[in-house]
Amino acid sequence: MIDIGHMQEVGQLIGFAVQPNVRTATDLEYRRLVDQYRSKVEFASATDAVLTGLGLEVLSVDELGIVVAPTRDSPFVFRLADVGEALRADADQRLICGLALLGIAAYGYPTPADLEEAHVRYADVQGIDDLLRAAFDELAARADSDPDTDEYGMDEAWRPYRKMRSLVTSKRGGRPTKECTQYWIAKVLEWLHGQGMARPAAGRGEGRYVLNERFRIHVRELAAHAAYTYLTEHVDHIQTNPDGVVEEGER
Amino acid sequence: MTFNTSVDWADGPVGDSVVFDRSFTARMKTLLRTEPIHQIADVAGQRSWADAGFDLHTLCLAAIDAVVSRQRLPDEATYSEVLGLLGELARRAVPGADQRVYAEVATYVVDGLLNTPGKSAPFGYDLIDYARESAARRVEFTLLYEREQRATGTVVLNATVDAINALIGGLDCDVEDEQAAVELVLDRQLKQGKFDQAQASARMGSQLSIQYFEELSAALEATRRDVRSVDWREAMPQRLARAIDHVGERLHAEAQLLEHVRAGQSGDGEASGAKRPAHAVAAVVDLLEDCRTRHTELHSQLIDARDTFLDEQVRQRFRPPASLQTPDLAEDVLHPVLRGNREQAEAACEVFAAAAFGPCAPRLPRISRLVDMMLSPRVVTATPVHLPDDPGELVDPPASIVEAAVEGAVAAVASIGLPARLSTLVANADDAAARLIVYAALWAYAPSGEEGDQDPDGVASRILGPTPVVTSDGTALAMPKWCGDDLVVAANEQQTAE
Repeated sequence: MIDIGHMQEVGQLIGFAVQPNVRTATDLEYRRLVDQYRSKVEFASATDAVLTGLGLEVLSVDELGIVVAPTRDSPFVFRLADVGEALRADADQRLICGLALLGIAAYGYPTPADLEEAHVRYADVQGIDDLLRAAFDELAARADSDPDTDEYGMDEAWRPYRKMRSLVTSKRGGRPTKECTQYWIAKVLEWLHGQGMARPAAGRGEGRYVLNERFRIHVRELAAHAAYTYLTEHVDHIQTNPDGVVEEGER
Repeated sequence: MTFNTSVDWADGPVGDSVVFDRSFTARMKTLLRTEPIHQIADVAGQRSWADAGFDLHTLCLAAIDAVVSRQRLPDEATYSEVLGLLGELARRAVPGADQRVYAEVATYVVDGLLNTPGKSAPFGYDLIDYARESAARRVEFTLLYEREQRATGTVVLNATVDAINALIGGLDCDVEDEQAAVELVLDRQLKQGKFDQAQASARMGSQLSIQYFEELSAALEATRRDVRSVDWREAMPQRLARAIDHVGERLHAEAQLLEHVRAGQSGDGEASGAKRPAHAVAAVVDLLEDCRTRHTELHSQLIDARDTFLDEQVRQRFRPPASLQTPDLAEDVLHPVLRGNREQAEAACEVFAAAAFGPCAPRLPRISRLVDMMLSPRVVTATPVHLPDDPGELVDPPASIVEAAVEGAVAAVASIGLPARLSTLVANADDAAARLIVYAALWAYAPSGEEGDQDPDGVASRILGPTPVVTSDGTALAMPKWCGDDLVVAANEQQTAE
């Protein structure tokens, strides 16, 4: 049985787990607690139990720290509505943020093999926008030529994105405005930065971000499967791998 | 140039040709590893500084060398550091040019090796492999890549095994033997006072250590992906044990060599030492110390390797094999989302975002959540408030075991009779029955000590009899759906003894 003193350490470790920008190399207490988690089964079990109660699942524990992900009903879960509130985004803009996040992942890890390697990947605002728009163009062309597409109506997810312009800059300062998709992609990247998932790539080009190892772990261990499973379970007419021609030239 | 067109190639001695030799393909593959470097030099022809006289081949190799020399040490080379070095080399080659040109040349070379223009995808080349029936094959490899140091978060450059091999010159044999050979050569050269060669050999030894390190890292990385992909029953423990011995020997050998070199330096050595240039000796000493640091590091990694396996085994224990197949983000996720209607796409994006953003510690109450919370029906907690006094009530509901499956399992065991191997018992049973037989055998092999877990419905004793004895002789199960030991199942102690 684990005593009260250890429960305090469990709490400390969980505190570190929800601060993704703290590193084990700079915080020795964090490092000690991670080592303790890895070496003492009782401590690990107690931590896991409290995490489960909080709706958090452990994805990995090593020098990177303890990487946890919230379950859908956890108080720690992120929702696109949070972006909406923080950035005063309407429904279309929230959907654009959601697609931008998918675009960032697809741009950074174009093949399943890329998700398997612990190699650093980069993503830039322009590149992500181009990737998404190329996919929409392909789908639009298919929708125009295929009468069956009427079946699912004209409310496809990509229409609001495609309708918005790629880049509109403000007259003063020349910065992208809310009226363009690049603004929203940049916002999502900034949010990822705050979550320890990405960081600006200094000196490596305009609007470029490093996708952190933490992001790869989240996408590989959880997000890719969760979205894939949702799609196969809830979306009847969606067949994966139809005649996918969109990502030609990706690799 | 003229060709003898009278030769009939079809009748030539193709059958004995060296191109059918497997080592020929190996050498071809090695040769291809240098191809990106030639391409980097060729494509530079379009740049404004192309004719300025920069030696891009040398800069490429210098970049790889700079990366390898610090790989897996605490101060690994970063992108900007390598740029700095190449910029300086470029300046020495062509003095007097604009500072921006040096920076541009350096960036061009490092980005080329990282294949930044190709979004860091592997370099790919087609070759004809005459040794195989399907002759055309594609060879894909990476030379340099960037990696995030897990503890510090610093992004550093690393060379792949391919790059190290290409740099060393296509040495494709057992690392340990090779290293021992390198050390022998080094020792001889030191005795003869051939310091340039000694230095080269020490460098080679250090590169081989890195290569060895990379192989181990690759095995550990594969384990993290799927613990079953690496043979931890036999091959890996043997490799680890060999590697630990090997590192011990190398540390000893390097200590001896260091002593030998230092003795020569201080004039205590044999007469041939008199001509040893001080800078060469210092370089050899540096290299040997570098090797020792690496081997100490490698040693601690080797000691931790088994923990990685155990951790992963626990982590992947209940994970369904299907989830190990990572979906293709563009093809399997993004495109289906886009083909869906708006509602479906929003829901899928929400699922992806919830999983990809990580935990958000709520700082301020959010209106949308407050409204959600107030409108949602009261949540009934899944955990009962009163724990039952009798732990027996906590066992799994018996309804989860289908009677037909139990009967199937009983029949399957009865038809074969005990004692028998698990694989034999399972062979003719259907899926549900097979699973029950395996669970029963596992339960009998290691019954839980807790009271509530004592075979509640007597399922195991119905299948394997009242006093089953299950043992393992270490034989592995060779069945597609299961892995682990092929247990020996007996009805009682007496049978086991027999």
